[in-house]
Amino acid sequence: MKQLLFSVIAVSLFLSHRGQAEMVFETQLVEIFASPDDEEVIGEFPFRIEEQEVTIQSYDAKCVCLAARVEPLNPDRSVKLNWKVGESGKMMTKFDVTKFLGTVDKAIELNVVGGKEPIILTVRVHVPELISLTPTNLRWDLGGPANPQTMKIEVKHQNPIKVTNHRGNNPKFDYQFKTIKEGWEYEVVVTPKDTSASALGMLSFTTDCEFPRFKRAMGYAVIRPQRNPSQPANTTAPKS
Amino acid sequence: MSVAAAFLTWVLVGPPDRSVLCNAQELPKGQVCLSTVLEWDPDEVLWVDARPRDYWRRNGVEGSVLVNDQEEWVSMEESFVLAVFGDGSQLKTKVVVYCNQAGCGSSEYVADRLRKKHSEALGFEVYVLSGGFKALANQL
Repeated sequence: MKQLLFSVIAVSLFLSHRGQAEMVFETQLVEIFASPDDEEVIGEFPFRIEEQEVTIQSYDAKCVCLAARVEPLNPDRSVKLNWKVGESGKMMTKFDVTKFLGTVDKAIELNVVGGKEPIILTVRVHVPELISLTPTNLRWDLGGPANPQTMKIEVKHQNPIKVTNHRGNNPKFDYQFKTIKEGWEYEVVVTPKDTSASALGMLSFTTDCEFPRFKRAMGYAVIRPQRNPSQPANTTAPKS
Repeated sequence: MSVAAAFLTWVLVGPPDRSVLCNAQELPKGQVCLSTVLEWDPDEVLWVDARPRDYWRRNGVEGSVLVNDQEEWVSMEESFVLAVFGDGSQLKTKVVVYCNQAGCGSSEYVADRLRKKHSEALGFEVYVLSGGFKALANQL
């Protein structure tokens, strides 16, 4: 009886593994390095059908920025949902990257009839940040020394990008804009007038970059209390 | 008959439980259960909506800011920093990002960028809400 039970369990596990092995993808992660002027990138996920026929139940990109399509299509241009053993195809993805910066992952969830779990296909796109501010935020402790701090602006592109305008919005922070190498490197030296009260300043930089997403950059200056969970936050410096 | 049976079940047992299950011990790093968030001081929490703007306008958490991956980042980032700082009397120390559903990716992207660019200087921790907006729906 035990042997029979064991056999049933073993066969069940074997069959369930076979179910997962039907639609075999070469890779489930595609990594793409976009150019700064790319508006969309294409990712391909080749697959082949092994051991058992597959019927695609659904696929969902979970983001309006990502479109997916299984190829090849049927002769009548309809989506091919039924796949025979030995056939191969690919999941084509088109990723709208116009609003992204840095590294971003987007996934497609693919379900097949009889499949226990969805198949997750991930497109990882690296979008270069042509202008970097280091650091993005300058911070002073409430009641601490009002020392000058420097924010560096660097261009990371094959062509120069000039800062054409700059503006600070809070008179509690003095700032000095320096051109180190026009189109490539700048510095902003920020000095708070005093640190007796919390304050937030925004530094806005406009560039002549041809790509809209790099036409503006922002840096921040903040005076705030040091984080201490045992003490409540306050706006004024401790009395000396 | 099946409709009658379903109605009777509803009356006797109650509506289906649509709450999103969340085990804090099993969450990936950087995620948080709604139940945990509800234990925090609400004055310390800033909700960030990573969904499309229409969704945020329709039913975003009250007081939330919109930071998604579909619009110009710099403008949304400004609003976010202003919301964290407030009037300076009590900066937000916990930022919770949510999107439409679990695994949508937008909240992870937004949380990662906010963490890298601002968390240390502004003094906040960033979390992604496990279950996304669905986890919130029952509370709203």
